[in-house]
Amino acid sequence: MNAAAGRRFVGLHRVATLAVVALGFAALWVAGELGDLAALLAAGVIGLAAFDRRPRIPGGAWLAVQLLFLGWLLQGWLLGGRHVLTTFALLLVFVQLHRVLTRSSTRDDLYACFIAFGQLLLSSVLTVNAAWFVIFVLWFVALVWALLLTRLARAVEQDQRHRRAGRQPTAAAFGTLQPLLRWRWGAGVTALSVGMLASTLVLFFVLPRLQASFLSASLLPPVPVSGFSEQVRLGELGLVQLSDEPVMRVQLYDRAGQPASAAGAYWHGLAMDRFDGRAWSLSDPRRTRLGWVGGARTRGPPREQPWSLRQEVALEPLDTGVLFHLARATGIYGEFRALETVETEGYYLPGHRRRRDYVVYSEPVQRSLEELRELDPRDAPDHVRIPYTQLPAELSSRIPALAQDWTRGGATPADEALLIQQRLHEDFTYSLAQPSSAAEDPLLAFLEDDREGHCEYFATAMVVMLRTRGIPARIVNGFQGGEWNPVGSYWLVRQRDAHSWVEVWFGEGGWVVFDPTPLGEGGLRGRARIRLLARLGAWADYGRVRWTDVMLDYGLDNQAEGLRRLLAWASGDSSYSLVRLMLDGSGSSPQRRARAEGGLGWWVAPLVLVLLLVVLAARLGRRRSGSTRQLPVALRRAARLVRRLEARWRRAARRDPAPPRPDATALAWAEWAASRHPRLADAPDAIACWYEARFGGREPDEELVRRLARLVRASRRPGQSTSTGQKSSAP
Amino acid sequence: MRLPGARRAAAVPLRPPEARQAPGRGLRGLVARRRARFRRLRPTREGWVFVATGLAVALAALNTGNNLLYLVLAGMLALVITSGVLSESSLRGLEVLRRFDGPVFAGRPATGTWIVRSRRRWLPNLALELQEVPGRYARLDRVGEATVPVLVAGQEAQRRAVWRFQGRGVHRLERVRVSTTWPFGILRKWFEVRLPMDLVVYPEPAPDWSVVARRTGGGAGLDATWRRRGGTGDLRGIRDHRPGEDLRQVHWRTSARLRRRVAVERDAEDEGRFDVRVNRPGAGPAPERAEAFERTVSRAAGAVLAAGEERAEVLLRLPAGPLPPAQDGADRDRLLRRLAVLELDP
Repeated sequence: MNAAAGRRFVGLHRVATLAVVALGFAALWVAGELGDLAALLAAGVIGLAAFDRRPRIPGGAWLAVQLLFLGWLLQGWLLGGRHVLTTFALLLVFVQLHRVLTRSSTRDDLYACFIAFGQLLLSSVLTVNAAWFVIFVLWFVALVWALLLTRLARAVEQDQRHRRAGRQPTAAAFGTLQPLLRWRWGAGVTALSVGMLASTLVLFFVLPRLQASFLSASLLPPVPVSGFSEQVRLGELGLVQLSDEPVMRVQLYDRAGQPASAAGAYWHGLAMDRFDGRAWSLSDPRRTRLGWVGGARTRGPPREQPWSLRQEVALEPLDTGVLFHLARATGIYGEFRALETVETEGYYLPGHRRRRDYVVYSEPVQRSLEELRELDPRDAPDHVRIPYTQLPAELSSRIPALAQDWTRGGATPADEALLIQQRLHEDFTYSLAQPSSAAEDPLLAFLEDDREGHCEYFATAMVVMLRTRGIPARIVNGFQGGEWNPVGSYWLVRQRDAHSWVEVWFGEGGWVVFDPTPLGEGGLRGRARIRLLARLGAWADYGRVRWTDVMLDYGLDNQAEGLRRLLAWASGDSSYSLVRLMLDGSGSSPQRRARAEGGLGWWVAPLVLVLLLVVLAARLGRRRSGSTRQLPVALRRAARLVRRLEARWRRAARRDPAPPRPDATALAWAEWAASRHPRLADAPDAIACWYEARFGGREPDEELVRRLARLVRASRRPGQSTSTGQKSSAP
Repeated sequence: MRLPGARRAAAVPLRPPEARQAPGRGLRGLVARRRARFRRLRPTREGWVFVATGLAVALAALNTGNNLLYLVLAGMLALVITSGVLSESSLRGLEVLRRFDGPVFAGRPATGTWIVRSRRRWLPNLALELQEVPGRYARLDRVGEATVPVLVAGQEAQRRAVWRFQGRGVHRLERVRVSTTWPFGILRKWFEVRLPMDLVVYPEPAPDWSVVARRTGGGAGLDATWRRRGGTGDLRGIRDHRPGEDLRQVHWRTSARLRRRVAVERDAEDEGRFDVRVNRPGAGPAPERAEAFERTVSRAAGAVLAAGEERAEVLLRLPAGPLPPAQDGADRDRLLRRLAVLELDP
């Protein structure tokens, strides 16, 4: 029975430890530091260890493997340019595998847990993936189990060492832990793990943040998003469209504060004006600093600018500083010190590429076709006409001819733009394939030969054709639309929503959007999604948002806000200002203070009173339970007599030439007394009996009391001679 | 054999009722009582690694503002806090008793038993470690270490342990350290409980007592002779005569036949008698005298024990005078106890 229980314990311990190890590997895998092959290898080793089928590798072979690995690691680090964190992660993987394969004692289990901790720690600086949190939770629970079981195992080993002179315990020895191998104990440990996780979260929020979080920018590589650099080559955007990574989440409201739809909306990124035949760029890349912009949370909408849409944007870390917004931004607010802009209308945030929250107020231009027909873009001023009508130096003559052909019949520039757009919609096909990229003149190849491409080809074709007609136009890169998340009530814009479109200058009407790209069926955009999966995806994305808001972006400002709310809640006044409280100490008006005091008084005072009563009752209970454990009557009497005896002997010893030491025990005093007086020869034995009764658990009896009483009486008689002929001092 | 060491095996509850009175009723008593309950804490070796790692993580978190590092740090702090709470829980509701198996001799391992009782109803006490805390008046080489992996609520556990005292005399055992590294092995929490016990540690019995007896012959040091009273006891057998033994034991006829010295061994009831004399050493430097005296006492203890093995009567003559002859185990205990506290210059 004990052996079976011992084997159960050993198995449980092994599973818990290997779970910790496996989750350490999983953390590295989530962080991208563990390749698929290494993950498979780790899983295989863990599986072998779980079934205790570890291969017996000779020591020499192990040494060779270790040396080879170290050589390979150093070579990759010193010569191959491998990042130091990656090198360290590989080292941890190898050491952990070695530990699992060569495990011989419970101390090795502790080492394995520690290495897994190192893996988790390393992964924490390499990823912000929400899956890491899931792994952390599981790892924490497994760690609690593993450490508890390891502690018990080591206690058993220690016990066996004391009992069996250092021999290693067998599995049966762990059978002494049988009382713990029950479901109640398991439930208790699980509850303990959950409680520890809860306290971990509480501590996480309470620990003071002395520096604002900049995790996502400093340690993590930004998500590569093309299309927003100042050099965009034809074809690059098609690659990006295959990515499903989120770019930003937007909450869109109208002026009345009601949610607005962003379906089909154009999220303006960067407009470019110069095309050299293969790539778009800015003719004037200089940036103008707009200066400090106040915090989005405290600033209201712009007072001197019109606006009809408010966008609250949470932008993921990207490889560009461009801020995205709906057209005609009239106010941008965020927690940043400076904002830069370029001539072609585009806003940049200088500095680190990290997660950004900002608010944009926009006033989209809504012009009817009739209004546009009355406006002539060709009358644009020079600062618009010159940059936005420039053409590539080696532009094929076929393209102006095509433009002229396509716009035949167009009475106004607006009609010409619509004709080109319609022609591209009807005669061309949307495709992620880029057959034209390899051509010497990709735009001509697209227009005459391939007649298929993605949005950038369509937009480029329309812009160039409009410019050949003398109409100022530009290409704009950004995103279109998004996916509505009903769980979090926001629009999720992904990289696959990247888009290029055309803006045409219409004088007073401003830049008007034209989109020549036909709706495609082959890309992810056209993909039908199963409703359930969409719902699950919405929840998953909302989880990532909360993970980011609550965990990753939690900082000192959140703590101050939380404290303020806490004080306001405690005072019963939600409008109570922490700042005022700190400044003048009084808080506010007498009425408000009275309300606050009332809010505290009605429940805090009884609560404190109840707590005091509980503490008092506990104290009294403990005292009463102590007082009931009195000594038996006989023992008390014996104790009194022993004290009296000691006192008498001490007094007598003052006249003795060789008294016992002052700190001598009662037994030593009895020995001394017995050596001084034959009447007291029984003293050591009587004291020994007293010890036995007092400390040894023997039942005290009246005989002992009588013996001690006789000794007390004998000690009272002075002047008797000892057996050695010396004069007794006192006993 | 009834020996004082066994009989005086002392044990005391962790919080004896008189502990409230023993240290005094005033402020000193209060302080002493509080101190008895005081818990002490120290990281283990793994704990120091944990603390160093925690500091490094805290530094990294403060430096980088990485919230995931803060999360890991919070987990580590939760581990420490939980460790403190659970270790406290594991140390509550205990009673500890100490019991020695038999007589305790200086320099010899003394086996005993720790008895740990749980006064709790529900929660077990886990990973308990016990050891003696040598006070000012006890000198120990081995402190009776023992481990109790699990103590089920309301039950009792017994663990064998080994002590070893450095010298004879009355050793005062005062405190026992009850510690635990439960639950995670990173912190050792302990408290010391008063478990007073006066233990008479007998002299280390010297094996060469008979050599000394033969050599001294009533001079300085030990004089131990085995007097036969008529030799009426039954013959047990013969054996080789050992160097230093009384020549009257030699069976001369058999020795002549075998051409080696052979001794006669008789049953104990032949009323043999050990006459053991402990004399003061002669003049000389104090350290040498003390050392010689200790040797003499050790040999005397060896002689007393040998007498016990032979079931012979033993008469112990001390410098202060002879003690009543010892005939049984209890009497021999009395002699050993006397030898244990014998002073060179009382």
